Amino acid sequence: MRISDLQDDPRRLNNVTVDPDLCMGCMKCIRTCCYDVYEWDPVEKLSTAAYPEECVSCYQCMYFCPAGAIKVEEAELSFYDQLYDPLGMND
Amino acid sequence: MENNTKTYITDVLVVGGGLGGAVMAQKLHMLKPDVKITIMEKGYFGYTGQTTKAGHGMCMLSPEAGDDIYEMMKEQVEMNPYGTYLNDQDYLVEYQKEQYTYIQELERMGGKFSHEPDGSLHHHHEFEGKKISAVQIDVDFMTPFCKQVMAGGAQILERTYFTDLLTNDGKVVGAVGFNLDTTDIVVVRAKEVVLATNEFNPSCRDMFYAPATGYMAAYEAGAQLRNVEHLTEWDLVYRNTGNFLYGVHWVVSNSKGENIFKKYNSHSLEELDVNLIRGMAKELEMGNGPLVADFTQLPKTNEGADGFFHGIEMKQRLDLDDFIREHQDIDLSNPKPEVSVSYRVSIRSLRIDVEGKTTVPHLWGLGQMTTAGSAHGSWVHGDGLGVASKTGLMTAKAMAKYIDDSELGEIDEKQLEFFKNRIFEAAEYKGEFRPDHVIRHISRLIKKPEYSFNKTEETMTELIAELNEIRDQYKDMIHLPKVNGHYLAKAIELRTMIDMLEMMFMVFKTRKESRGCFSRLDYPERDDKNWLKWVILEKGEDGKPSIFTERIPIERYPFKPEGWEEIAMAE
Repeated sequence: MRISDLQDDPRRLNNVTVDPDLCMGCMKCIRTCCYDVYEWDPVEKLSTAAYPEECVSCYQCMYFCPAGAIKVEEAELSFYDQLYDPLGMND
Repeated sequence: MENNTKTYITDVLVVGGGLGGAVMAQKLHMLKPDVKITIMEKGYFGYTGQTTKAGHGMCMLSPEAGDDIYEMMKEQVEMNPYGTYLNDQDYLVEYQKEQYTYIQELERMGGKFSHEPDGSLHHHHEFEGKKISAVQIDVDFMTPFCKQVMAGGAQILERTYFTDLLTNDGKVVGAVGFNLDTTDIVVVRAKEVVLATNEFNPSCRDMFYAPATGYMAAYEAGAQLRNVEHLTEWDLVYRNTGNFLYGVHWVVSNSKGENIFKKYNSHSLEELDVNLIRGMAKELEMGNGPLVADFTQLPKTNEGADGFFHGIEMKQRLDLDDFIREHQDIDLSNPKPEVSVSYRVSIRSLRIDVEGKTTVPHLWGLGQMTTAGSAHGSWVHGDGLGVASKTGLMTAKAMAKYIDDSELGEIDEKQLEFFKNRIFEAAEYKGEFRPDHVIRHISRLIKKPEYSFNKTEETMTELIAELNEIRDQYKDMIHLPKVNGHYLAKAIELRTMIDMLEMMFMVFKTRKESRGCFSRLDYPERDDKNWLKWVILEKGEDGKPSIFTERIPIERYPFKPEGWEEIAMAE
């Protein structure tokens, strides 16, 4: 295993953010996420997208958020494309 | 590291609070109201589990639609590419019998299904092209079951990440886990333990990603895994986004406008044939890319997804679906979107019998984690929720017969101490990367063509060596940015992922043929003469994986391949 193998291509991971000005602290995102993307901030009493790398684009958090505070930005490229990547066609 | 330990005592512990676990718990409570039930769930009961994300269909045999148990079984055994002729046909009969009535049973338990204006059950015939019907369910389908379970007095341990099974004298006596928020150790002593922890799917950034923790716990407890090599899946996806694109692989074309499906595919079933995937790769190598799904070639009568989704009670699912489409970066008006394939390793191999018992006393299994281990009791691509709920009902009914005579076993304190220390071992690692970096590296690695659709003895040996190298190195390469539940769980997922994948490829190497979705480049043909048998994996007496084959009692099964007499005689 080479160190370079462990570097993630940021184009292949989702980005998830919670707008703290809009979040009402209802915890719906924390409850609906199956992959533990969110964490509760006990001081601010708000949700934070602590582990966005775990997002699988199910969009449930964003859909159920009553405040429109969540933004899921999907990756530009598939995580691993086994037809195009081996030929270097996504580089 | 000092942590609190909380110990609970129960009659039945259900590990995994998805649909299968919830249905099982509710049914068991209905049959045995005095039995104390505990559910261990890593998320929030009623909210998490694949049900709420992925599910919308559930298979059933509909007499109205003319579905027939014999025809369905025949199709499952003879044509289903998920392990053709490797079914446990005893299990299959029992499983399919339930297909006629289980939807009604779930409805009586509170499940909500779509109905036509005349009150009849709304269902869709020939689901995924198979001779079976399907009903549709909404996003909140689990809610009534979970409410009933809680009203029945079950103890719910939410945010509790299951790690290991406690055994004593070869019997399961409970389970260990930890709280993801507090990292407190949770010990549950139970008379019977039911694993409902889903499949193992190492495909990162995939909606079906699921760790190997449940399997490794079962394996370490002595349970057999059967048909590990089956139930790999291929899906057509949009190129770039990797989002799934169902039901249109027969119109995949190259840049010259040639239909690639017609050129390479060897069967017309819903599942993608490995020949099509190899063909797609070949077309790209020849410079005939990009590959597109040419919707203009679809017949005008094709209902597509919208036809399937017209269930009356599915308002939220439809709304959510529209919401997702709106936000995904896909131009739906493009009649020829670029496509690729996605490889999903779906290990569903916990061996159970017709009652749901594993090969270890007091350990049971249900749902997706047993689909191949029950030797394909039934698997229709897309019927994960049908499997979860039906096996949940079957297991509850069997459990009700045994629980009164079951006794609480003693815990082996040394073993418990070992498990506790292993949970926290990653806290000491001092490397540069996080555990999830290595998980994603491995996930990419196993998808390479030479390890997936073009695997051979040589490439698999190479991959096993690489996995061993990763095992030797990863503890020096990773650290936990915070010693919290999330990162501890990721470190455990990494450890179990390496172990399970190594064993998986050892089993892949054992089966020297291609059969259905299991394909090898060096053994491209199905070989009933030598491989009409189950490959079994279990922990050997020396602590190492033991892999052996088991005879299939084909002579007493209703469906047999050609030349079966010769095969049976030879054995």
